[in-house]
Amino acid sequence: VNTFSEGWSKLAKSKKYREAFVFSLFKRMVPFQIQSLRKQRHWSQMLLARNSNLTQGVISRAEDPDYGNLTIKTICRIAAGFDVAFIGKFVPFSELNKWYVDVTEKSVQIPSFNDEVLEPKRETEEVEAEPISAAVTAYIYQQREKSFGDDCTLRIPLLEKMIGSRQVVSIVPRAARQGLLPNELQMPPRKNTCGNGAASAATN
Amino acid sequence: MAFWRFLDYITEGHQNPISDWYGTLIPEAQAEFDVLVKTLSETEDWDGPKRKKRKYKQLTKAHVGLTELIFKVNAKNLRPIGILVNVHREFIFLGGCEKHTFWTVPRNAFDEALRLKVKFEQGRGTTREHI
Repeated sequence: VNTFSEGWSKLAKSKKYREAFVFSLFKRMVPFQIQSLRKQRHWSQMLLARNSNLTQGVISRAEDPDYGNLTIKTICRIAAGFDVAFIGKFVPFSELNKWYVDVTEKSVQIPSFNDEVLEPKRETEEVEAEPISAAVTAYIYQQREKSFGDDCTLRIPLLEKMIGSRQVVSIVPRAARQGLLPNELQMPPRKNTCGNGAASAATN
Repeated sequence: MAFWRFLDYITEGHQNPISDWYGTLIPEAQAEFDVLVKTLSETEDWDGPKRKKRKYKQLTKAHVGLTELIFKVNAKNLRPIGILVNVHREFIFLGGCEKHTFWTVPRNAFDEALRLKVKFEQGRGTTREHI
């Protein structure tokens, strides 16, 4: 709707307009962001209320752009509910105008803390997935045979310790599930044995 | 890229009704109008909120075909009026008014908007991007 210069010329009209603009922007953009974040996560108002330790009525008011009486405390609780940060920051009008011109529904949809932490790890995993050597995988299966048979849930914590890398351990079962492992790295066929004792007896 | 485009109708006499109305508003109302247009342009689904809390209303009866945007400043009900083109996700401004129960300021603003709508549909006048 506006380019930077168009927005700037409006702001330059009068101090009264600037004051009103900032107030109106805050009043409407906070609800806009809350709605967008909720939409991004496919959450109901009720779920956001529960995560924020507020009532559904408070969330409904917080999403009402005409309400205009949101407290900092409520905003911070909602931020906590989404597990994101809220910064009330004084900025020059040039910065405000730049943000205003660029703001979209997508741009205000941001990841939670957990998503932010886990996302780069997943990317690393994808990168690491290629260079798993046959030797490492052979070693993993050798240790598995010795210790736990085919029980994946028991195998993984042990392998994590042995290899010291959660990434490698999480890649192997996933790649195996997706049929991505090359032939020499495929899991050996499951033996008809039950329990750890039977497994170790078979390998010994 | 915004979800919705807002356009101004320019009459054959090169008048811009929404801009003329905007010029009569106090700064608080102008700012409120600007931010409303911005948030609506970036909102995919205008029907998300409950009916009473929606920021637009499609008019019926004598003014069917027109749509009003809804905002309030200092207890005054302000209504930019236009045509909602859902297919193209466009809103074409034809004017605006302060709405009271039995009258508007300026007078007969909805009738005037309807008159402009007819002209627009006859291909008279042009549109331009709303600033």
